Amino acid sequence: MSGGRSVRLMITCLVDAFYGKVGIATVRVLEAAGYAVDFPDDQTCCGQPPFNAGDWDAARRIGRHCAGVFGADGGPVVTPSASCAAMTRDGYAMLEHPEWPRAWELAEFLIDVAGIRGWPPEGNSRMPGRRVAFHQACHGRAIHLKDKPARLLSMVPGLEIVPIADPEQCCGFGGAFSVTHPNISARIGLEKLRSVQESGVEELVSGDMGCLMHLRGLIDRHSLPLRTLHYAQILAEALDG
Amino acid sequence: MSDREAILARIGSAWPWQAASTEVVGRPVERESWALFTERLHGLGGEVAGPEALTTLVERSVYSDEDAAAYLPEGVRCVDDPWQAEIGVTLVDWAVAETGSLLIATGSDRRRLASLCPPHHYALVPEGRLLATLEEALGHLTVRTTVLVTGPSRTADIEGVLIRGVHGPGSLTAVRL
Amino acid sequence: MANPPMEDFARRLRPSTLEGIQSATVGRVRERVRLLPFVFADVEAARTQAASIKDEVLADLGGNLVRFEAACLKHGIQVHWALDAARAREIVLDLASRAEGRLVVKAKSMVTEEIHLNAFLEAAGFEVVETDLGEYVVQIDGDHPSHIVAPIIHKTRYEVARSFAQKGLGPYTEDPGELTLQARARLREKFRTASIGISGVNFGVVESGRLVLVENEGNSRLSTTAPSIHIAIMGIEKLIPREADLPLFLRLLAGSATAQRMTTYVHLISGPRREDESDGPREVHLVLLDNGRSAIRSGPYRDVLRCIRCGACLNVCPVYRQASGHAYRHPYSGPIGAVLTPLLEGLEKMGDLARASTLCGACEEVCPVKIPLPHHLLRLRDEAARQGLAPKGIPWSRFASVADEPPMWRSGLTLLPLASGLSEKGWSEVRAAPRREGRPFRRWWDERS
Ligand code: SF4
Repeated sequence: MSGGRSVRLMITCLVDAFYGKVGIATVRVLEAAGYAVDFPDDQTCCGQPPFNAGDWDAARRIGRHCAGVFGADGGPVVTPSASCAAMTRDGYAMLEHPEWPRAWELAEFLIDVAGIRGWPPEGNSRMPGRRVAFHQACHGRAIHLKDKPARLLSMVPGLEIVPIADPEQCCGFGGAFSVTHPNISARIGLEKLRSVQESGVEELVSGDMGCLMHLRGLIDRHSLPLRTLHYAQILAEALDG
Repeated sequence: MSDREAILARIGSAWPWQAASTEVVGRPVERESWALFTERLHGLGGEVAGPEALTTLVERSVYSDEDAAAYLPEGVRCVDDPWQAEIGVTLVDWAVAETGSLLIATGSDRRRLASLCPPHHYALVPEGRLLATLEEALGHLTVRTTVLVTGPSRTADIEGVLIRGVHGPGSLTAVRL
Repeated sequence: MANPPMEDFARRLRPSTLEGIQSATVGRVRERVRLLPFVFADVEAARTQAASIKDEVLADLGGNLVRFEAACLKHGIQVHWALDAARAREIVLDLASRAEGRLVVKAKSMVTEEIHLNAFLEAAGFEVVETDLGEYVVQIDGDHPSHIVAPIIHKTRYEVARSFAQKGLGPYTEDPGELTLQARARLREKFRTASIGISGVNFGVVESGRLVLVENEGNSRLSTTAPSIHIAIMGIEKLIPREADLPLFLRLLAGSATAQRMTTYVHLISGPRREDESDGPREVHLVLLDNGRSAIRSGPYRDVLRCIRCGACLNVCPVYRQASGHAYRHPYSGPIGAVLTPLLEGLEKMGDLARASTLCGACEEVCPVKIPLPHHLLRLRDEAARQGLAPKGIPWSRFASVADEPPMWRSGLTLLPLASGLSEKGWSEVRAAPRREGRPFRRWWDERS
């Protein structure tokens, strides 16, 4: 792998708190793509949760901290979350700080910057017979992420992405909305899970831990036979062959 | 202060505006194609017929535009009450292939209710009156009140089920003269 | 509408209602997606262009209104200006009182819902009849429309059948075709005898002073053709500059609202009947309504005034689908309602609507005039919080102080405020709490380096 290229990892507050696995997988994927990964230890949150909930003063305070941690010097900032990436672009602009650093979403970075066209980059591991459903996180809309995460997954030989009904439909999480409107939120989520189950798979993959935390909570509450994974976890598994 | 002045004062001054640099392109359409017009109108539940279709109006009650009456065969019962007529007959100014539409202006020889009250509408399209696109047709608007009719009256209010003829005519026949 | 807050309202909706809304909206979304690429070579360019043309109107709204007024007057359309709803109602009452009869037929119009015109005219002794099929059903049921374009999307055919039979429209039937015929028969009598017709306006063309009304049923044309007086009420934002802009907007509206290439009737009104004509209204009046629009125009939400009321944003909205239009407590529902209603009625009363969204962005993606609805929802949330109107919930300022202090954050106290949010009733009522998966990332990272 070519040396000298490095990225700075923005791990996101949810991964920091709950989903260490996803962070580890993200590091492994970026390294396999040929990047040295730096993890600025002082990072906390991007400010998206309070921004979304309507407390923009709190969001600005956190955003300013984030901007300090990921200052202008250094490699590109990469995050395994469409909503945090959207926050650093759309959100900071709305907070009138368009100059704050912008983060790449992981798949976007791997395809558009790293130029990844096959996965894994080396070796010839396969995942024969592995079938997953993919939920496209809505915040990807704001950064025009489109199907990039799914495209990455489809590079893994043998892995099959099974189409689900209304793939563009939201999962119902919505940050603060999930707490202020729990019933509506859950009904939207259960509909998503129904279409996943109807596709006959047992693994649901997405690119945003907010969506997955909400869906996981519903799956557990209703004892549904579904596993949830971040797509970085699958890409990391593919490295193990 | 009148409401007019108050509203204009609240709006205040204009600000600069820059046109978008995009050019909107419609789907290309064949010129003046009767085949396309027929396909579109059929798709909407309407019919296209030749002048012989008018013979079926004999013995039936018709409320007609005055300038369309000349085309009606002998034996048609012309009535003066649009609410009692079975058939409304109008003369069309322009037909539009792209959408299957008919442009009908009001005028001294015209009756607005002819295309509206009777349950069946026969719209006469004279020779040379078919245009390709909506742009061309609306380019022919005059100072008269005008209606663009695209298919029979319809509704999908009840459970999304498509029903024709709710208030306007449930059947529409474009008669190619 | 005195409905309870959205979450409580939605909780009580019947499964049959939800299924009806779900299938109707999903169907509309699919048809729209299928059709639009056949209508425009480049749908994106069409939307950009339409947004830009509406911005052109708004940029010089005052000048455009004055030019439009002059053009209307030239055709004999009498123009009245109304600063607010009360004034608009008075103008309409005054005009209607000059007519001989007391029967008013109404075409479907959101703006007359906005100013609560019907109840007002009825109190003044008029019989007001809604003539759009869906609006008629809503009226005889004493209900409210629940969708901008499809007023009875929340009702089944069985409910319509029961109320028609109760109201004596004809023998009991559950067939939508026969129900439609029953309404048709009843309403024809009204069209014939009404002396006043009231409508909204979809587009007012500045250069020509033409009032453009689009519809599928024919009731709008009848309401504005058969009676001797036509009163049109129009929000001041509904202008388009040129006749040449009509094809773009008519195509976008028909395609976005009902997935049609063209709406069945496009009525292009330029004045009352002329000397040489045998029918049409003898007077046409236009009421230009502000009712808060000029204030919206001067603030950060101005581009909501681009809205052409197509309803596409409602159809794609996952929250609308689960809550129904009535949950928005106002004629404007769905994403556009969640933005517009707080702006028209105040944040205090309606600010909660801005929080009733997952911000998924599907609405912005379909909006034919590219209104950034999610941005506006976010901004409204901030504004409400600033005015002290946000509900007590997760203590964000505490979260921010921790997030601003890396040692505290790392110590694990970090997410305490977040975690307190997740242990709240709202979360745990419907979902299991999140569990830690794998080793904490930071520990792995530290050990590794
Ligand atoms: S906001 Fe956009 S999508 Fe929604 S009704 Fe208005 S024009 Fe249509």
